[in-house]
Amino acid sequence: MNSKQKNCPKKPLTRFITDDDNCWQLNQYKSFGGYEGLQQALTLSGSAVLDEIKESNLRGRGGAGFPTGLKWSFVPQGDDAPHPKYMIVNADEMEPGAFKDRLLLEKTPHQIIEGLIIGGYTLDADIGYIFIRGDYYTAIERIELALKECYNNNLLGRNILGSGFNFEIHIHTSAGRYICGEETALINSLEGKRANPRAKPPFPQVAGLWGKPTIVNNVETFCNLPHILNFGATWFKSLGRFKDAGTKIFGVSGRVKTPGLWELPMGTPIGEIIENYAGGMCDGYKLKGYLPGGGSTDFLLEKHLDTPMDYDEIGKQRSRMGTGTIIVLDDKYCPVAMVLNLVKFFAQESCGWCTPCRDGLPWAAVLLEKIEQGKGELADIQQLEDLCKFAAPGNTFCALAPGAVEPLQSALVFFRVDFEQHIEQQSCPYCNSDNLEDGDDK
Amino acid sequence: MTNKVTLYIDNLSYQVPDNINLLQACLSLNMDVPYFCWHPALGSVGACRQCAVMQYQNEEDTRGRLVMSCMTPVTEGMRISFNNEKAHTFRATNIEAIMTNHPHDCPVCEEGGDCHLQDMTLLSGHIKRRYPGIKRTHNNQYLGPFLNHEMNRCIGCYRCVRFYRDYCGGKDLNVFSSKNNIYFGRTESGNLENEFSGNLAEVCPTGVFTDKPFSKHYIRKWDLQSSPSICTHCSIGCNIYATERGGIIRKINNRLNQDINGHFLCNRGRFGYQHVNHENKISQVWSRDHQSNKTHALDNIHAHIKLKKWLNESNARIIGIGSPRSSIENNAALHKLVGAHNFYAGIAKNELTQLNLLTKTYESNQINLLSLKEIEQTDTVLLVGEDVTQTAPRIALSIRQMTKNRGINKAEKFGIKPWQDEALRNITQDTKSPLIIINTHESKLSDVAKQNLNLSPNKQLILLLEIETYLVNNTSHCSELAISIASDLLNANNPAIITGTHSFNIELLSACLRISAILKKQKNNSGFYCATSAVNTLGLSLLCEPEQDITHLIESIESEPPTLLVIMETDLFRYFSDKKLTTYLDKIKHIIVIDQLITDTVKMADLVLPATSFSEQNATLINNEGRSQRAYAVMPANDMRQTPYKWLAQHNSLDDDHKLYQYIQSIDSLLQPLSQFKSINKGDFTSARQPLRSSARTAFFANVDVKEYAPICDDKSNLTYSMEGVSAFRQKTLDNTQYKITTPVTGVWSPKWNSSQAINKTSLEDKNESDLAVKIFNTASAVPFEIPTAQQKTYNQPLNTISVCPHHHIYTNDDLATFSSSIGELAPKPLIHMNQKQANYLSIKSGEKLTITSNEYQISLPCEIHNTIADGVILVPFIEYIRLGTNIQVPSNYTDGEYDD
Repeated sequence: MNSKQKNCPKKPLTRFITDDDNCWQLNQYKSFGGYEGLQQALTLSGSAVLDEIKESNLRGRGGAGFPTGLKWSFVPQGDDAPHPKYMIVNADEMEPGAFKDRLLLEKTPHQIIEGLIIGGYTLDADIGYIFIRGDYYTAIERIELALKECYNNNLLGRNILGSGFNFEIHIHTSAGRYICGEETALINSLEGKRANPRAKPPFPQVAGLWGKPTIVNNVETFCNLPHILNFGATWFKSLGRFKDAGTKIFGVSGRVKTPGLWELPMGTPIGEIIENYAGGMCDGYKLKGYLPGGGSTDFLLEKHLDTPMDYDEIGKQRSRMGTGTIIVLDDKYCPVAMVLNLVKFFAQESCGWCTPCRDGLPWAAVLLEKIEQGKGELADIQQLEDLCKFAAPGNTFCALAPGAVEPLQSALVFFRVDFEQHIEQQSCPYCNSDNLEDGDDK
Repeated sequence: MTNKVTLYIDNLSYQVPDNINLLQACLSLNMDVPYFCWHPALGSVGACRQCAVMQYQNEEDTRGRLVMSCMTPVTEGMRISFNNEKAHTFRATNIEAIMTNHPHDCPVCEEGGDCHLQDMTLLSGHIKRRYPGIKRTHNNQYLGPFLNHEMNRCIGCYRCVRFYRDYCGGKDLNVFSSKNNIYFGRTESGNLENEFSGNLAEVCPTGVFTDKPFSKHYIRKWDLQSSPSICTHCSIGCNIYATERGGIIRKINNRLNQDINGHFLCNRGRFGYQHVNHENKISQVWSRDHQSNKTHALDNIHAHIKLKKWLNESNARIIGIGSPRSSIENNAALHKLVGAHNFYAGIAKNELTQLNLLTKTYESNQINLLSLKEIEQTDTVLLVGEDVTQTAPRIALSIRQMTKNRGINKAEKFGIKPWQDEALRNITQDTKSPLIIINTHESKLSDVAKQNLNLSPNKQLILLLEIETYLVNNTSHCSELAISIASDLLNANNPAIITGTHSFNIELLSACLRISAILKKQKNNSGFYCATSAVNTLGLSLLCEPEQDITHLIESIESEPPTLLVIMETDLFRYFSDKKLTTYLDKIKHIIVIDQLITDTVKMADLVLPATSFSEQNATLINNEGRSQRAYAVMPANDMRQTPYKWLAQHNSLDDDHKLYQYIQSIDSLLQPLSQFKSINKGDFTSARQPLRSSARTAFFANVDVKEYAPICDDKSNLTYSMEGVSAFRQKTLDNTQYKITTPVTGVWSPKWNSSQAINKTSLEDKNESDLAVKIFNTASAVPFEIPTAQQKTYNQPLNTISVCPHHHIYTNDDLATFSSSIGELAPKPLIHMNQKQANYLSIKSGEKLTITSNEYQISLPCEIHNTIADGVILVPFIEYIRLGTNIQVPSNYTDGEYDD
């Protein structure tokens, strides 16, 4: 598809967000060109839309970065395909340090709904679900109202905009488990079962919700769809600064001067995000390391700041882009305490299904606590390393435990001295170096 | 048919079937691969991660990839390593993680010595604890009389909930909470409701769920004496191991028989054994002195003198009553003693007629007789007139598995194998193979049924006749319901008709048989299964003519009282009212009762001969599908108890086994196959009933005497009452083709595998115990027989009559099991059940008493309303129903009104 003679935006995802408190409503959304992507899609066949999505090189924004078009192409198509087919928006944002979906959910509910309808049209799906974190009260309220607006304006229901396409959307508020971010656990949860991940195969694309073909994608992934349809795959690819296409909402938290969220081109170097957008470190603090993509990614150091925020490039540095929300560790906060906090969180969020996660993570948490409290032994470091290997990808049922030990395994390499100091001094060397209140007000 | 594939394990090549997973393959090759969450009947879910092995892409691949063997299908040429260091380290760390919260209470844990977790921990090499944290703790629950609950021992394998919920359809056990705080239990303390809950003691790999009755007389596994036996609590003939110590039966374990019970027993079978240890068991000969009206003990010699005297009295008219829960041998001995004409079966009149119909049909080869395993493989089941969940529960479990077949086929299209349990369930969702239940009320199978048709017996019959008509003529005169059921049967590849004799409805049974016969003509894979009342009911029926039932017996006594009545293991008071029976028994000069327990009938006897329980005798029992199975004694007979046929041997000239089995064969040609039990090939080796010599069991009677007495010799089998001989199923590794019948396995054990999970270490071919059984109905030689058609009058009966029907209950139906205290605890109060409409019609409220009368008996029980009960049906407890006999009437003032149908 050719890039239209339209005013092609540089920041498509946030272009609907204005200072107006009601910018999330249908009329405002439409006034900025909302639902034009859908109208564009409805003029094409489903397979043509899928080709456009494939062409755009859009990769899943939930963290794994799996090519969206490829994922969708596994869904059975044609007259004998099973129905109903389901499209699910994974809005259960619970990654430590991630708050990007919340922005989109609260400010642009129609953008998500439009993306979901386009997705449904692409794959001839029948029902869409927005599986949303239960604590996102504002977002839930707005999405519910937005859905009503859609039903009232023939954007949902039977024969959408006269196209003959029927599509329903339901909102489901999650009971609050991190594991629901795992797509098959999300599906189980939606079915009213325990939120345990499922065995794969079968993949949800062929047998997901209620055993039917199902697509689960992140909020941000769906948000990209209207723009790809509206402005074309070529335009979308041109947005990226490196290999990956499009823009992304990046975030920074920690002791930086202006923590927050910014829509930036894919491939923006990490250092640029921290320095130019987050304003650099707070006065009196030095950058010690950072988790580039949220709580379940490996630490990177100052020397990696030139790395572009690009799935493969971050991968080369042995970390992951994840959700693209950077958590900064400064020189006055104890890295052991930070890792302990994270491992505790993940141990708490284990569904309890497989051993390395259920029993391995609490074990690691106990050891970290022991070290942090100044009761550690050198052998504990060895045990922690063993436990990181124990929870490696492939050893566990899903990706929770491998993600959970990522900050730990990299901290054991990059901040080993800190661990050893804890043990040698039999106390936390940071216990007097920091005043937490100072940094946390931002 | 399965094909074989070649796989390479640590560079050695092996041949395994292609339809199994890698774990099963390794175990069958006798490799010690540890695992927890996998179970042969429950499939794989990949939760515990204990069975990890290294898989290589090809010969060049040296790096490999860790895979869970339980989740990996075997493929041609696949290369794996079990001994790889990384894989070994992973397994060691995994068990160390599993054990972080496990208490060190093995010495006081009843699972100790019979614990899969103990075995796996040692296998994986975890001997030192590194975890420095505090263990999590849980509160335990009261789960009823069958199971103890000790959640602190839980290792989170999820097998209990997968068995209880997914396999058995139980609702009241679940997993709660998350992370390492997962809790397996009920929402609150209370009896576990499912009929198969007892299996949790074996399904749980450690001591979370343990056998509670066993706790009360606990003995370590290595101190138990064990032998292969047959469950005597219903007609299925599940295979069990009975275990004993010091003359007390300690517990019943499942004995794998793929054709019948597989890995699971019902609670009645597992916990019904306590009658053997009951205080009312008879241990000596008792004689009643009519002059002094006193009872005194007799010695063996005087007992026989008395018996001989009574048998040889001039003008002696002797009648014998055989028992459906006693062996073929015992019944044949009595049959010989009293003569064929004077031998009556302790079976109700209607059931004996049903049995006659069944055996004739089975002999005629018009239908395919199914095993439970074959039921599990069918794809449509029509279950008629029998609540098998209560009368023969193990059948219900097989039917429940059958409903999963459509889902299995669906999953196959996704490349998912039947053992990939979790994936299978996600694809299956609510897909079920059709199960259509026609009965008077809903049962515990109703949740998986496509249709639950609750109808009065007459309406059931009409529906069946319509189905029959449709199957024959394809007419459109039938009701839509009949057509839809017939279509389900016709659309199936291998449909099955399942019924039972407990409705005592001969018309219904013959309709089922005719439908099966018609189906078989159209579909050679169709099948039939019929539950009967007791473990040897079908066997006993072969020894008598159709009129030699218990009602005819009473008529015979009435017309000409015998001088001697020999009653074997039958409590006549279960069939007749006290008053009626006492009147008749009083007319008889001498009554001899041979039985195990003091029943009301025993109290009427002039001479009581103590009989052995199932645990003290070698016996042949014929189950409801004509499978003749051998059960072995687990202990020598206690005190003066003797196997009934031995009591009679001096008097019926069947004084050796050879003569006995020759006589058995002469009664009915169907009993020919039993000849192989007549000569015991003691062979070159014996099997030990007791486990390895490493135990301290010889000290058991040290408080009495320090001498170790010579073990009692068992001359009826090649099992020993000692540790001498080959233990457990080690002998299976020997070439035992020439000892097919005579080398029973006395337990489950394999080196390093002390729990019952050792069963998975045998080669796949060796697992079956069915070589200990012979099927008597030979499909090769059919005896022609025409199944009688329905008699016009029956189904033209007015529909507005009230039918009183039997209400069965797993814990009250079987007389021996009711002697078990744990089972008795769960026995329901006797109540009369009906629906609200019926109650309104009778102007009766829930809780009020209703009186029902028959010719000679009257019951008056409180009512309870259940709206799944069909209109026009009143359910009374089975025992009361039997005693009511014929001509049952709900008092006439109720039935006057028009019944609004």
